[in-house]
Amino acid sequence: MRPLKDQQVHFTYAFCAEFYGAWDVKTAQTIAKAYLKLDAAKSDIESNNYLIRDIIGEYDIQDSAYIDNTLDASLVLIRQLMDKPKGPGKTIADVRARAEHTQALASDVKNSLAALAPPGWRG
Amino acid sequence: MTFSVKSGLIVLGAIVLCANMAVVNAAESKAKRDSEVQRIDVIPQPQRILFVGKGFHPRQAKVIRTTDTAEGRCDARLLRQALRESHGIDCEIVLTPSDNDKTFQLSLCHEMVFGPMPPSPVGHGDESYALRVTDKEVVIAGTGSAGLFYGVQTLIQLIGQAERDKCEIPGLDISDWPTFTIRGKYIDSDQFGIPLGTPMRCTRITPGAIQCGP
Repeated sequence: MRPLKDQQVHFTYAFCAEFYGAWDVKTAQTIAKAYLKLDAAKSDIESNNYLIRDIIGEYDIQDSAYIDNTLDASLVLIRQLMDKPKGPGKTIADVRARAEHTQALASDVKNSLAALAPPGWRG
Repeated sequence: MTFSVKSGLIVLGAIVLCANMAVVNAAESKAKRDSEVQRIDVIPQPQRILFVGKGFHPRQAKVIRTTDTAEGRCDARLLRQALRESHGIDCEIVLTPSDNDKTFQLSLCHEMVFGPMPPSPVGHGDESYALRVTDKEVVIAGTGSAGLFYGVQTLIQLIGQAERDKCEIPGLDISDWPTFTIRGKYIDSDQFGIPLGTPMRCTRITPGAIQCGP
């Protein structure tokens, strides 16, 4: 078996290059960096989901597959967390910091990917 | 005096240690540099990769030779299509008579001169293949039709890398077989919109079953 830590970065690059049909190294690298950054951000968002449930997913798609995952239930959890923080990394301030960090990071990634697009391209 | 001898020995020991460390570091750096330079962007990474000799320029490819079977013809067409898309060249497909149904070979050449096939990996089932790259041709030998197909998928990825890196396919000897008998990929099409081409692209990099959810 191959250790993940030795493989992940190269695997991500090779995957992005092949899957997205990158036409040069710079394109493949930019997409791969976006993948690695967003993967880390996804872990942050999942930490938030663990604390206050998938409030964004619920709000966006109203998916019936999310059993008992309602906006009201999330608001109750937020209120409880404000009243009684659960410890380091598990406070409303931490949730907010992670969300804001992800927002800024997503914006950076969007800009770096948009810079790859040929002139006149509308994504 | 004794103190001076001891000090001298300590200094000498330190010098020898530093020199050894420098040699080790230099060797590690070289190994790292070599592995960085000699990498192939293929997923999944083949089980065994050996870099040998000169490489093959896909842009000079002219002929795809394969055995005259349904699988061989299909694989040859896939390879020709990939070369057309990546390098804008059309290769001629040459079919050779199949002596029996157990021949699964394909080669990509500059001219109508064909070298020997590499021995396909033994003991890893029908999904294994060997792929050899020289300056004159790329040859693939599968132990079964699935092995030949996976070998062609690897070659298509190598051609893509050559186009991205603006270089040749390095001289290689690859032996590959699946780690797991059952493999698959799950695409969560419920949460995320999946373009129509996605499952097709997945077949190149995920040899196995593909399921779109939920």
